[in-house]
Amino acid sequence: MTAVTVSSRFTQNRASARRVVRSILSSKSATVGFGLVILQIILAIFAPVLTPYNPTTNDAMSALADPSGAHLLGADALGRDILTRTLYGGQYALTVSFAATVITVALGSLIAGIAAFRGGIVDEVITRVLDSILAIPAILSLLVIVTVFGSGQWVIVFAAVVVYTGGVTRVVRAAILDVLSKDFITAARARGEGMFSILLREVFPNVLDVILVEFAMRASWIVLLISSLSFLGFGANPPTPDWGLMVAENRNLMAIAPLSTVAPIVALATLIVGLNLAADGLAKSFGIDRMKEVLG
Amino acid sequence: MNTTEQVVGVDDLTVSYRTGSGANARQVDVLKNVSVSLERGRVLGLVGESGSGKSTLAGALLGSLRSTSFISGGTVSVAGNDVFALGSAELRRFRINEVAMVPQNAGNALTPTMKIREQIAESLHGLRGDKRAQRERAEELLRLVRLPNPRAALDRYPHQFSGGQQQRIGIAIALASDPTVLVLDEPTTGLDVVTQAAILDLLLDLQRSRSMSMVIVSHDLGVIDKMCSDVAVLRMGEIVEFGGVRQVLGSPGHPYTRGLIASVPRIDRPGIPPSLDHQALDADAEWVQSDEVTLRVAPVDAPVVLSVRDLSVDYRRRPVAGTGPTVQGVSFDVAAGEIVALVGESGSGKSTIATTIAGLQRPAAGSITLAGAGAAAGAGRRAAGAGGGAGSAARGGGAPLAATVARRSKAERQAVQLIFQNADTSLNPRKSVEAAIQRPIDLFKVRGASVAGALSDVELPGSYSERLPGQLSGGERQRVGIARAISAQPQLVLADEIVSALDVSVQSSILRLVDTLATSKQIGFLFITHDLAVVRAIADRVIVLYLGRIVEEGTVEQIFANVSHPYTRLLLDAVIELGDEHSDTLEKVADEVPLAPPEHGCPFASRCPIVRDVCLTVTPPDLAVSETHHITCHATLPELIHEPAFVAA
Amino acid sequence: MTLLIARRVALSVVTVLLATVLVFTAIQLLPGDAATQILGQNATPDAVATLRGQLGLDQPAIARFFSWLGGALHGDFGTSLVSHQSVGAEVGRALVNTSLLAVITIVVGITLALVLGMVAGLLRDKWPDVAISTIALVGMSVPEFVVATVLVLLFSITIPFFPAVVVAGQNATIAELLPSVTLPAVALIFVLSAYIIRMMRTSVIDVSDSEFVRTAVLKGNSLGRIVFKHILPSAMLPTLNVIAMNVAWLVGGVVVVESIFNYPGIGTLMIQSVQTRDLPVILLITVLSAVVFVVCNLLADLISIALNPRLRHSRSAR
Repeated sequence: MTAVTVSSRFTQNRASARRVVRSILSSKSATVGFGLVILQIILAIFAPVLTPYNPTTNDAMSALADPSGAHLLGADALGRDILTRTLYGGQYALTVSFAATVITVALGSLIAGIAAFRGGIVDEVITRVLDSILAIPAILSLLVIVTVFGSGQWVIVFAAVVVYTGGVTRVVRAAILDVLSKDFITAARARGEGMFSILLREVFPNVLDVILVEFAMRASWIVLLISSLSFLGFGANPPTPDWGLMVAENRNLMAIAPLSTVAPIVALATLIVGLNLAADGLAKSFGIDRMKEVLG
Repeated sequence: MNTTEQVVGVDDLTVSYRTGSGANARQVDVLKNVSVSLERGRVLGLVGESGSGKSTLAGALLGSLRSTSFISGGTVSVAGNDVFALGSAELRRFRINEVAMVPQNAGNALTPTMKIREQIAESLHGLRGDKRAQRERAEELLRLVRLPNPRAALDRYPHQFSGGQQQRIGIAIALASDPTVLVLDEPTTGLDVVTQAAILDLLLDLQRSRSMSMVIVSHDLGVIDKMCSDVAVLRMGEIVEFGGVRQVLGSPGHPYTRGLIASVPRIDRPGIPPSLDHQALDADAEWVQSDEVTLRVAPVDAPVVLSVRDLSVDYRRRPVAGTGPTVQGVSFDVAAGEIVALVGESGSGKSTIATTIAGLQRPAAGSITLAGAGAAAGAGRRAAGAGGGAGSAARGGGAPLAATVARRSKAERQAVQLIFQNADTSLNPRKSVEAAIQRPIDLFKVRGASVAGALSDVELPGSYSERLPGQLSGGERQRVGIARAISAQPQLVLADEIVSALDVSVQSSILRLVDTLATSKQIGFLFITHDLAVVRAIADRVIVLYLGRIVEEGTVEQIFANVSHPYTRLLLDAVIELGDEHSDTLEKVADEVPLAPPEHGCPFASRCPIVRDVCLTVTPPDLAVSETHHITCHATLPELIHEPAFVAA
Repeated sequence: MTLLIARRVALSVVTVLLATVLVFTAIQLLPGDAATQILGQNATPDAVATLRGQLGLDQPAIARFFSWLGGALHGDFGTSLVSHQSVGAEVGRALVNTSLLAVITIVVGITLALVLGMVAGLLRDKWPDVAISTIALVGMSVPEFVVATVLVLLFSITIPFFPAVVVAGQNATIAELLPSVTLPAVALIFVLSAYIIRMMRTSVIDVSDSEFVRTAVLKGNSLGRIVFKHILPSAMLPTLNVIAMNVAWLVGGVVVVESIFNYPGIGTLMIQSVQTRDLPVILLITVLSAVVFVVCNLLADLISIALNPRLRHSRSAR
């Protein structure tokens, strides 16, 4: 009997994985979006193989070099190859954003589950506190946290989690409330199942779609925020190759070496457009109203 | 003007949509070679089950199709216009002058942000610009549809009206432009039976007094029979039969029509009607539906499994002057193998009682006692606190159940199971049939139960265990819901409107299943429904609820015999069945149930035709008609005698 | 209804208070306080202690919070630890400058976004919709600093028409600032409109598919009447919340854009104060941001109540 249950659960997990892959492939924008994101990940991972240059080694000889066979996109004021720095630039943004997004979405979903299921005063208090965090502009929260704890990678991750968990909670909570009103939940409650059993068995499989879309969307916001932070000088520290930082460093040279600014901008925009397309496509093929995701 | 002028002519109409893409692309016909016609002043009924294309046909009369559908053949002509040949300006003029539609659910069809006056004025094209004349005409129209307090209603918004009132407003708006043809899409579906009767009476009056041409879409043969002069029976996009209503419904020529008519339960005939076998019908066009009804046999001297005593439930956070608790003083028993029907209109508290028994709603007062497993486990829990008494059920006297499910023992929770109205939401869409049925078996460690056994109990093939709910039909999903409930081997099943959302041909097969399960497994059923014909078919005993109070209780024969509570009688009179005379209109009573029960006296006093002063202040006494038949009323027995609604079979 | 509004207002006050407490607490965690910050790492302990006393930093945090709160309620937000000016005056000046930018952005941005969103929704899947949706997708995907940088590149360097950076200082008059507002405003409008366009498009599509719009069409109403009387009021409801969210977001977005254009507003001041750990200034900016957030949401609620009769009247007719 148990073997049967286990095997059926296994097939179900495989079935839902298949369903997600099918949904992605069935939508052109999701396919393109995920393609762009995966491309960025591959480029960031294989950056050391793809380029002969070191992203942080200065080379006075080629300072502000024009694009040429040696430096395809030219070099910046310190003579570092712009293409190299752009390729490496994804490493920081991708790692930090990925970690931050995973934690934000997981934590937000968990809090949402508890708030929605318990209801009453628990729900009220959670909602109130999260609303207060949302009331502080994201950038200000980030600045304060970075000033207090420094600008290490994990601090940035922590800051992004603080800033965005509230939003995830709002969205997932609304989705969970919708599921909780269904009769199969009433059946589970009447069987006397506990909160975590109901959340895990009955609720989360039904809000997985929402959570996945939420993941893609929050990732795009977090990339945006982290690069803005780097741009303002509160994120990645020089000479780390990072897109936001590169724009900040090179924008005064825009008239002389426009590619030094344009290259990181294009890279960043590609990643975020990819994430947005993925979120759009997923939402569409799952039949979720993506704008409700924004609102919560 | 020629009196036999044709106002609607649908000629060989085919409506299709495309599905799939690339190599899988194919064209699906929603309507296939449909031809119907209607002469001025007559009423055409379009009847069929879900998916028959009847609403598509109604929309086509107004030149409106779903955005993905298109006409792939034939024409629609209404009042001399070839509807689908009209340009957009002509189409607008056609909709202004010639046709109007009363949509299915006026609650969704009225614009929520506009006042009623504005929404009527939109259709008063002759009075454009003259605010005062518009207002007067709008008020006149609301009076015509018998909306209470029409003047004040003009400045209200749609959500401030009840469902029945919204439907009346919808009719008023449709009448405003004085259309040649009025199309009504399921005009009374979703309304309570008394409200439905009142709206249909109104429509019939309007039709006769203005000799209006109407097209009525309905799944309800009784409604069609009462309202229409002609009828077209649709099945899967095709017209199987078209003609005068008396002829088609009185002596149907097509086996589908015959089967459909035979599968409708009736209040004047006991027993569960045969179900329509679509497969047999598809295989053999000459197939003849058996008209054999399954007679329900009530258990004799069965032990009581559930006793509810003096149950009260109160949703109010604080007392509101003049109102009483939602449910008050409800007492009844359910015996093993017995099917007890809990009947009432919306707001009667019938579902509240079920959720309270299930431990999902805390009662304000009263006790719920479960015999057998519950009692043993309850005693064990109180004595030792350990062991939980799993499975060691000893039948016998009972101890009251805890108020909330969290404080009930496993055995107690196992003993009470639920089945729901909406099969779509009662199963987790992400879990297979097997997982859904296996869960209670695992949780309660039910011995001797298996998914395969439960599936065969509900007459589904074992291969269905791998399926997801989305791969099942509505009736099949409802069967899985039943299998999940009985796999726990309960003593009591709470069945909340479990056949209300199903097509009539599926309905009777589910009823027959419930009958079999109750008898073979000795499960007591509390069968909640608003449908008296279903009650007549399935119930052993009946409890009639009004505003959370029991007004009448008796065996099914007693309830349908000629001594009734005035409320039961109102319900019986309001039922519209195929083949009735349809000449009587309902006595002029308020057709709307008040929002909350009164604090004192009889709950029905505000609508009762034989109300007296005492009814407003004193709780009515129990009037025992016989040992098993009780009426809660201040009247005397002779006052409660009426013509039986039927001749006993 | 009055009760409803009163409840919303009360909740708003709670939100502002909580936000203030959160930031106050966070800043307490700063390593080293303002005294060490001002005097530098090499200051004598005596000097630091004296300055602490002068600044009131020797009081416990809770006492300092309440004394700040007491002052704040009387309009006294303390003195800047850095410039030694009144915080109220300093933030006030920056606020006026930012308001100029914000008002232009909000008025132009929201109007534009609503019109574009509506057009896209009504012409679903036709070319104007595709064009507008693409622009919105880019707006959602590109950070403010990128938009601003590209604008500077385009206009100030290749077509030197608008000033790329503001040369006027904190005390510039509005007349002096006006020409330099254009580029920052364009950058903000671009980013601000994206989500509003998307939301408006989605909800126009949703409402157009509803039963009551179908009924309005079948009544033979004109297109204008269908759009403005039947669709728009309902479609505006969900959009309002997104507008409120985005206007509140503006407070944050302004930081980046101001810093790029060196515009003497709240954003520039915020970055400076965080760098110098100027607690009173940061606190006031927090309170102001929270107030903006809360007021935006409150306004959205009030407009919803005005638009949606369901919120205005309970079911009373029966």
